[in-house]
Amino acid sequence: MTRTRRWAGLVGAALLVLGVGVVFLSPGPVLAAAVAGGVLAVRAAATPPEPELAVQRRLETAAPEPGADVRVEVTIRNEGDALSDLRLLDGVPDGLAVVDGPARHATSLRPGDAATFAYTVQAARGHHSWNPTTVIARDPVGVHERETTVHAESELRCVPALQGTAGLPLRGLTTPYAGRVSTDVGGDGIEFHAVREYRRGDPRARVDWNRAARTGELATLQLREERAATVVLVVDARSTAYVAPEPERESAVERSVHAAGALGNQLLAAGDRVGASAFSPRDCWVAPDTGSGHRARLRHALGTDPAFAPSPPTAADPIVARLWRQRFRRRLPTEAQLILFSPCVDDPPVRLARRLNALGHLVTLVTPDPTPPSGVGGRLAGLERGLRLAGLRSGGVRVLEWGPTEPFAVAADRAARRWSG
Amino acid sequence: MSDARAVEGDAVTPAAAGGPDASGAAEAAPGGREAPAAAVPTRAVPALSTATAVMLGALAVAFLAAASLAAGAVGLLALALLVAALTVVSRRLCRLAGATFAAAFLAAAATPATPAPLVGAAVLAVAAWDVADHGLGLAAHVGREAGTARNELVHAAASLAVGTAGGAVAYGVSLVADGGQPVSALVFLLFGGVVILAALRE
Repeated sequence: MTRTRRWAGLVGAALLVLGVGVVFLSPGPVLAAAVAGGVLAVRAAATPPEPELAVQRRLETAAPEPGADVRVEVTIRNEGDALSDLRLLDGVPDGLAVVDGPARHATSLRPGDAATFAYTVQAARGHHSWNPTTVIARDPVGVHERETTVHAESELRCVPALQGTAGLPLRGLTTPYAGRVSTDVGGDGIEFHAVREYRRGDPRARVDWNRAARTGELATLQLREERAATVVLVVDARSTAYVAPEPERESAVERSVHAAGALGNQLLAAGDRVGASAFSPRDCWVAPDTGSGHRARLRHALGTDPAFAPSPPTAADPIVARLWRQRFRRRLPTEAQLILFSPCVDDPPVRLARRLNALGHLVTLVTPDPTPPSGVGGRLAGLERGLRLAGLRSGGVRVLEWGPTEPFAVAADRAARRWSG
Repeated sequence: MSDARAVEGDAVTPAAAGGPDASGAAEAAPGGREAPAAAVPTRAVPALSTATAVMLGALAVAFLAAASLAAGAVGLLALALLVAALTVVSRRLCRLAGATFAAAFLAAAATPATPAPLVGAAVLAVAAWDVADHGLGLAAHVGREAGTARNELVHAAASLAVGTAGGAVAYGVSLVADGGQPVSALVFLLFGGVVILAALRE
């Protein structure tokens, strides 16, 4: 409880007016001072308010589509004595933007009375829970002020559907299972690989009859085997990765998560095993797997796991890249290849890509460009980033640069035409 | 958006409502976008409080002018300051307006003034200042767009009721005790008034 001291000065003013009134033998100002005296008497008698409130919050829907407007209705009920001056500040989650009406209200409540106010938030990907509502109560003359909080649990889960058909050619690191990634292993397939000497038992259709006619020796055609890959999608979600060219644009993490969802969807549809993880102090690991159940799991992880949250992790939990990498390697299946999503505005993701690539987990880096095109600072950051990416390319990591205004499908298509398996 | 409580400053400018910080490779807002302008509370006094305070102030000036023209003139200055305080959202200006209202009563003491309108003027001036200051507090806490009508009306009514009760008691006593008091009675009145006001100090 604090005293507002809003009436400070009235005593002095009243005394002055009283004194001058008496000196000039003028009754009017003396009576005016008496009015001030009355207010001061009430001020002295005022007791601090004791707010006892119950808050109820009703969301229009608890599981909206991303970008949808959700109306939030807050009802506050007075369960104690009368509160003549009450100000409420609702604890809107950090990741949600209020788009209509401030989440604040001022009212006065008799005992048992309730007040309702409403505002609208725009749903954003993730799992959001409301913070306590801040309550500021004052007594009728505003001498005492008490600030407390009232909590009402409310949660909003916004899980975007995994959609998109943006495919990215995978690198040649595969599982023994059949799939769609062409390998350098000769066997069954579509594409020509090599010719070898005929062995007993080879299927007749695979015998190279042209060659037999020309040379009289039997030879067997070998085709590239097509196999499934194990892909782990890693999103750089450290606090430094939450960058965007302009404040109102989507952050690099947000774009990365969308792209990872689209890619994961496409890879799962093609029969590959897909896992996900976040390069972030907040731990998240979805082991690579296939199937519709796994698809739902992946969607929920990308949509609501705190590690992929739309707001950055706090400075309280730092990340030690080396420890993260060790833990990640223990979990990673040997034949897994990585698709790393990172804006590459600092060195740890670059080192991570280089190390894991060197360890045989072939890495493809998808890097959404967060540097603004104008301004010296932006250009400098862009140059630094370009050097980092050049270093990665020379180290054998495949890099897909994804412009700030480009849809992911376009960038992926551009890369697919340039890269070979 | 985080609804962190606004700090009540002495001088709060409307521009302090906060614009996006657009410097270099800017940090993205949580959720990837900045809250639209409609959602950021405007640090302005709610319209009802502004209207009520100005109306009460104007009435107070009218009562002051009815008592003595000099007091009315000073009161007009006080009203102008009050309007300025509500427009630029400044508590300092509001305090200055209150002090100028007090000066108007000093002017009334120095000139021959009829007592009855001064009592009314005192009630209205205190209420006007109170409503204005309350509105400034609301501006800092919840802003202009929030629903505040009930809060403002209750406060204005309470303020007027307290002032009116005080004024009625004082005027009633003055009517009963009317007559040619000796100077010693005035000295005792002054002494008593000082003691009461001193006792009511914070």
